[in-house]
Amino acid sequence: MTAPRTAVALLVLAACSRGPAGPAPLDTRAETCASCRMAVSDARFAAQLDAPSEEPRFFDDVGCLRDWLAAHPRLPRGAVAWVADHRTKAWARAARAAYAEAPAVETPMASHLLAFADAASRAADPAAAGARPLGPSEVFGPHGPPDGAP
Amino acid sequence: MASGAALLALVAAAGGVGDMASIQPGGLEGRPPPSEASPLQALVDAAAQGATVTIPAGTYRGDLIVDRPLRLTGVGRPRLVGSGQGSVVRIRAPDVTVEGLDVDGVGGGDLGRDSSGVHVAAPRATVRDVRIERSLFGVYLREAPGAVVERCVVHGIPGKDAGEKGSGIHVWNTEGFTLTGNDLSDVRDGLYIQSSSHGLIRGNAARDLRYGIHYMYSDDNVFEDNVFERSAAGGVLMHSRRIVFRRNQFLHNRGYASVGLLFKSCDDSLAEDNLIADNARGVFLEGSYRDVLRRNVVARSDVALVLFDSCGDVRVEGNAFLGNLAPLELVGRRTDTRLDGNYWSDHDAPDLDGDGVSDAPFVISSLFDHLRGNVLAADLVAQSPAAAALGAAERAFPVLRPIEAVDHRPLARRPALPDVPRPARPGRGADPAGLALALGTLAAGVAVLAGAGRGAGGRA
Repeated sequence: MTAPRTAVALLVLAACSRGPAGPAPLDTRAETCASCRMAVSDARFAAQLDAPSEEPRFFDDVGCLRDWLAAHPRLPRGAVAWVADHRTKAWARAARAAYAEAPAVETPMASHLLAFADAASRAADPAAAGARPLGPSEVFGPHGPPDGAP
Repeated sequence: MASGAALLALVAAAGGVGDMASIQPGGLEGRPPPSEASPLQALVDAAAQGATVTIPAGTYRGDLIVDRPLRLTGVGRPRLVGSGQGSVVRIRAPDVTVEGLDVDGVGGGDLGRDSSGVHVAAPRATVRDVRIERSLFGVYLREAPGAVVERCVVHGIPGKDAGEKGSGIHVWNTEGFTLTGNDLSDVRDGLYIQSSSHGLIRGNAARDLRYGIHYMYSDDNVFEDNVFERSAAGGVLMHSRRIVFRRNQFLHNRGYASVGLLFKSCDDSLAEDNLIADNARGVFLEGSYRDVLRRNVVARSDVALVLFDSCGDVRVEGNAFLGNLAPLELVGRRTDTRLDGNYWSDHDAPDLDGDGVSDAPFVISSLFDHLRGNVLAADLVAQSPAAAALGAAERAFPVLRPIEAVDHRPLARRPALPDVPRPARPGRGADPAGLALALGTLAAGVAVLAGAGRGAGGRA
């Protein structure tokens, strides 16, 4: 009798400890930035933060995600940050993404931060030509963005 | 059994820690905790529905929730000083009126929770004659149909970047709102309208901020008789349809890449009788269709009209373009925009038959337009005398095939339209760095033209 209960509890534990299944789709007509409260209208600059059992938070600018994380250092276990690849608009894990600071590119909240799935995608984007390449820790601080770790 | 309970406790512990859950997306600020509540809360809580609650002069510290229909009237301008943790006045019941108050947000709160001077999340509220300072948002209308905000003053938080503060009046998911006679400064955007229709905005002033008025996904709106000045942009109309606006002034928006009036994915809209003057760029249209601009004055701008080839069936009719450095910048390789019956101050063809229309069409193009339309870096010299020199040189020695636009019936005489007011701030002196940049660019332009002229001569 004890063994099945333990198994069930372990299953529940495993389910709750996992991060979100993946990034949520972005509806540019409906979503509002969780930080600046403006429309998330341009998918090229978007980011999102997902946590188990919570609605996803969308951001209209990588800078908004950065600022929101700085203001809310205590996050639920399993929270994962995602950023849109500026070139493809595909979601990438923020902790593993490549970034560029491009003063010539107007981002929605003027952070001038572009995100990419990897360095190859960054190199292929004309918007990042001449921009300053950055890593996750340079954008989000030494601990980087949340990536599902406890 | 005991081990199972221990595991379940472990599960609960693992389920989540931190403060993120306390500010869920879509959450709404409710009743402030006693430690943050205003002493006026007891007065409100004791009032009968529909009552008038009079607030005498004085200073009241803490936040206030109004959760029943009533009229909250200040006498002698009482001052409500917020806790710094959230919105100072929170309207959560229909048919509430708040008037005659001074509200101090003390620079606190959280943008993500809509922290405002007055936050409305209920139908048919009226916010009247309220002066708000040091608040992240001034007045926030959140799903507040029928709201009226009139004669309010919002002076935001000086010294913060645009991303660190909210709008003067922020309208979200609100049908049928009215914003009149408000004065807004030192906020992110003066009037920000998102996913909200059938609003009327009239007689407001917004200055020294990012965008004076900003529409996003908001159809069927009207704004009239407003003044938007000294900002990154006067008006920004994006992802919206059927916006009608008249007799507004978009003035002195003079920063790098600033613009008086910007359309981006804004369709079927009408701009008439507006004054758009002394801006880096007058009117900017990108990805917009079937818009009509008529009887507007576009004056004293570096570029009067910036037109992307992603626009379609735009009509520019009966406007006056006065004293602009360049009349038009076409970005791309084509345009079907119809320019018809406008007055162009730099068109000098005669009107010998006296019908009021110049005898020759106005062909609008210049080398500088070509450069600006195809070389991003050319924007750097948009405000320099070198741009004028390049334009003059190109007219004398045409070396590039320009993209043309033609007004076939240009007006011969300037229509009777308002003058351009001078900036309210003191005049700007010569900027040594800007002067050096202009002279350098002038020299570079002369060198480019000389080289191009030699190249053209070699091919002849």
